[in-house]
Amino acid sequence: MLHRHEFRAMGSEMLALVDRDPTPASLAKVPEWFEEWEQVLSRFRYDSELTRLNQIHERPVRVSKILWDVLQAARNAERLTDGLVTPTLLDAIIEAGYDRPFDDLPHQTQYMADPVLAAPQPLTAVTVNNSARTITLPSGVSLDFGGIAKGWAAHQAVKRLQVEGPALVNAGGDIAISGPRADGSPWPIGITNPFQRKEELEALFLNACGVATSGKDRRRWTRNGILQHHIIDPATNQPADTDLLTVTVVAPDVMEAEAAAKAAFILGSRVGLEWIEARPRLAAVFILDNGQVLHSHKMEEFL
Amino acid sequence: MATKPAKRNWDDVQTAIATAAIVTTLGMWNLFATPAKAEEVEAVPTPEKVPAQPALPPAEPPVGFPIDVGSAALPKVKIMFTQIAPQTTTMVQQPQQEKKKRKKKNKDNNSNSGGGGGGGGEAAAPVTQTQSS
Repeated sequence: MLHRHEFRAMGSEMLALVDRDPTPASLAKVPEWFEEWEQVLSRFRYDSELTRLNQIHERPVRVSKILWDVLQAARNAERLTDGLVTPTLLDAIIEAGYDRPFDDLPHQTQYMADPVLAAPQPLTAVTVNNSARTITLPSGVSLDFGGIAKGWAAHQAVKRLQVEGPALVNAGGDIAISGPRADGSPWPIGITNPFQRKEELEALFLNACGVATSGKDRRRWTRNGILQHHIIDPATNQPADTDLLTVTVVAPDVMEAEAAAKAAFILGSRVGLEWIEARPRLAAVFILDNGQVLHSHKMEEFL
Repeated sequence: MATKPAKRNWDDVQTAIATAAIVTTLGMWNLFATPAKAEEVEAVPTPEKVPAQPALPPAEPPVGFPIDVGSAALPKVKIMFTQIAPQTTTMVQQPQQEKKKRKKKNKDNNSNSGGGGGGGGEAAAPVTQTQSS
């Protein structure tokens, strides 16, 4: 029997599922876990640990285990994507107009001065001390974990829930899956059609893995008449100029899937598909602006 | 009196030449134009989903890449709808038909792999969706 718990956190709809009887007690606690993580990791809360860290530069700051773990996830993402996905682009995303929770964002802003931004620095510019668990931000660098935090949270929640039974957690589209369902079958997961959100475009059948989608179809707005979105290309320090509308990636875990989807999105359909195909752990579905749908070879295993 | 029959003969020759030219033109038109049209008609309605390009060697470190999407041919794709004027019937029908096949395929796989059996139709209905986060 599938038990579900839906709630809102981190500016997104969340869903936790456990496939067992009776209802697992920990299912009701999932929103509390997300609240705790959001209080540490949100850049929109003035009293979050991340906000406080971003106000201190050139000095080591001891951080909580949660923030430390997410920083390690971000470092992995940066390594995996050769620097395309990095949490050091906070200034660029704010200059693009994403300076408050998306639900509060005016969909059109006018007459904003063009941003003057320094070139982004990689996460390796941040000094970390493993034994003391401290982080030292260089001047001009602030962190925004964004999707990395959501993927990490989904991963953590599933790790806790799987003690009780086969589990799935969907954190605003970033999905972590513990393993097959109780009857041994895979979990059927739909890919939302970005042109008609009530429809699903494909159905994937997944076991232990992560799946995530990145795209410009939802979190977007207009600034000075120009369409903006939330995925920043570190090469330009601006929203990625790409022919892709969304990228969905299946990977061994949801954090890797999230990072890979973002990297492929930034690279565009041709280079992005080559990048995915060169990594046997990854499978992807690309939906282009013009409506074309591309599958990587490995994706055939999940359809 | 003797020249009149000769003029009528010249008119006949002109008429014959014109007729032959028209017949030849029409013949050539039929010969070359019709098959090409037929090929076009046959080629259009068979969009086929073809997996993407074969695996390629790892890309160079992509930071600062000039992204040149247009310079090489994209892999063959299925065109499911258009952005400007979505063909809703096409969009919806095609994925759903494919989905049914996939569900069936998946169900077969499950039973072959000795999974728990069970599930049936309910197992094929998506429990959730992934979307841009």
